[in-house]
Amino acid sequence: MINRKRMILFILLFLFIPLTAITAEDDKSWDIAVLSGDELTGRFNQPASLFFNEEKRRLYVADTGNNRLVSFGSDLNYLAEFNADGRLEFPVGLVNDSKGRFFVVEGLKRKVVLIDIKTESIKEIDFSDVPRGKGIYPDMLAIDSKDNLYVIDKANRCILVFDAALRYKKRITVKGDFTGFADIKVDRKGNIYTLDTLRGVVYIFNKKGEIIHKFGRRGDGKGEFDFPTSIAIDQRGLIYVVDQHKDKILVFNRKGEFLFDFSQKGWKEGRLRYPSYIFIDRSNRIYVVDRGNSRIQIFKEKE
Amino acid sequence: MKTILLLILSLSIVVSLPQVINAKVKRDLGRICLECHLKLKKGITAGKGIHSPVKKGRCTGCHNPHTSNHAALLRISDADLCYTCHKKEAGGSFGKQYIHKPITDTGCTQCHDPHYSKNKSLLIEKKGEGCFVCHKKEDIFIGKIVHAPVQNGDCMICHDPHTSNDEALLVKKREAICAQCHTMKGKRFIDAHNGYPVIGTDCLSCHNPHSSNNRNLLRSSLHTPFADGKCTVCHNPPTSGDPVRLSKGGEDTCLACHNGIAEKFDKLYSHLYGEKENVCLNCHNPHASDAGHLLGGREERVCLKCHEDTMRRMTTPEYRGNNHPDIEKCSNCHEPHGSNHRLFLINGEELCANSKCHATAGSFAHPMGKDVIDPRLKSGISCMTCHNPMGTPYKYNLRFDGKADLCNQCHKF
Repeated sequence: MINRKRMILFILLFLFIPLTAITAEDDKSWDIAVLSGDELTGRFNQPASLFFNEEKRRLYVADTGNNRLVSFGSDLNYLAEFNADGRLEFPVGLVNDSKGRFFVVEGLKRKVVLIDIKTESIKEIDFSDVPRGKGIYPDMLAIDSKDNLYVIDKANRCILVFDAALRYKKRITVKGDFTGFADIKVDRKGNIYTLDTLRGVVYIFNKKGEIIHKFGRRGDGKGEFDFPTSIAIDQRGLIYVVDQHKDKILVFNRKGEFLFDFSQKGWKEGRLRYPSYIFIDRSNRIYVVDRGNSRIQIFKEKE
Repeated sequence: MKTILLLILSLSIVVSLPQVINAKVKRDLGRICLECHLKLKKGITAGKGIHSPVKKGRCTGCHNPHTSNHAALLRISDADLCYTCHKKEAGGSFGKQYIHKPITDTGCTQCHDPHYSKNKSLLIEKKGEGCFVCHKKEDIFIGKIVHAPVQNGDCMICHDPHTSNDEALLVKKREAICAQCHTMKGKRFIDAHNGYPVIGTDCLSCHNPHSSNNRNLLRSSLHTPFADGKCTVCHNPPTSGDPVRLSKGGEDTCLACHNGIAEKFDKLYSHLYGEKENVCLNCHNPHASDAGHLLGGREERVCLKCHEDTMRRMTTPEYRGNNHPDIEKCSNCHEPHGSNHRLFLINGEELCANSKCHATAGSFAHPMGKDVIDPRLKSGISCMTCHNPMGTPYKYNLRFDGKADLCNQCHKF
């Protein structure tokens, strides 16, 4: 009887060991593609962000230092670039809604512009109905499935939410020990994922703007942040955080438990130098703005 | 019968003799040690305070009389040895956030004599004189007017020499430390602060607790409205319901006078971050400061307060000594408000060669520029391709070992 119990225990142990190895997920292998520009496109210059349009299957890059938006097909072939006849200046945040409208933050002008590519028109979004304490300083943008536009306002340390008709809806912020939002993404349920770089805290809000979860802290331990700057969610609900100074992507589950990280400082393919932004498409392709190396790297977990 | 008694007595003597001898040796061991360690003997005889094990002659409690892997034939390493008896401080944790550096770096004997001392708590030096060994007087006595406890070397009135939850190792919260001695009420106090309710605020933000050339130990640089007593330039009147509140709210109060600063933030990389509602106050002290530009502290401390991970990297043992000279002067290379260059650099990655610091670098260094291609990135190289001025484990702040590893990154031999 005892021997039988021992046998069951051994079997369970053997079953448990490979399970643990899978859960740790610290030895993943990736297919990696690099976009850094070539003679045709011109080299990127400090790209700040990007957006993948699922309907059109197109990737749009805000090539900030070159004052242009660049588009690529789903197989990462160069398609076109747009600079509004030289009127577009230092594009930083970038999103594209279901109607094909582009919203772009012009970094130095403190404004968000609505771009119609066909007519090459640029129109500044009017923030006059936003109840404000100080002038608005827009940074990163996000868009949800209902075309609501989310704008990070650095000056007022909040997220401004506008409906599809660009009417102001609400303001989301954090009270207490808080230094400002660095990036924002919205999942299909309307939950908002954002983070505070200097406190090293990830915030998850529901669509009403209430905090439903927060986690993280700065430190040099596993799963702790040096200088987190950008956030994304994959189709499994895993949360990816770019740590600009660790030169790594840290991955957490929905509860905020650290699962694994990948990449390291470097210049070669697959390595990062001061990465600044992350975006994940519906096929779980991970686009990372490798800003220090002025390129985009695309990671796809090997099947 | 007599024979049996004699036998028992002899047996008991034989059995207990080694123990008696052993006990005597142990008791006399201290005396045996001192037969050779005459300087120690003289000191112990003359000293007022003698460490308890020394007094009891238990030299072997700390030292191995034959051999050891540690200096002074200590049984275990310096600090660990102390914690075998001083258990409350075990591991040097002391239970608070900040630990005095000697405890973590050199050990207890930096300040305490483990044998004897004429000073309280077995301190090597009397009162503040021990502190001034590391904290140089010329850095503390910066003004003609010196705070009385500092003059008297009574550092421990305000500072805990071991641990504190305050970075400056204060014995109490900043808001309460001065109230230990100073009365914070009465007409004189209220008038000195122009009627503003300053009780409960941090006195040290305006007053230097050590010394100053200014009356009332005010810090050396004073913001003009503050020096002129014109508080209402920025604040509501003292009689209003919310006197401390800024009349124009947030950084608009500062920008009302400091023209041109707002534009400095309108850059690709902007320091428009921080915990304070008025973003200027994340770095600047609006009243008084001992640092330039009315910074809230020494420049590197202000920067590293947020860039804590940078400090961690800069101070790792392998980086120490391999940082760029004047690394503490962050604004020599970085633009503190905003920059269009990565890492807030003043003049991009060409900063070094273009600056007066490395003006001749172009004449002898590896070719650089957008036409000299780094094969890893297929883009031009700059100083920072090979160097990291913030610190590396290699000389000249090289990113890799300069003997071969560095060149091998691009030149595959």
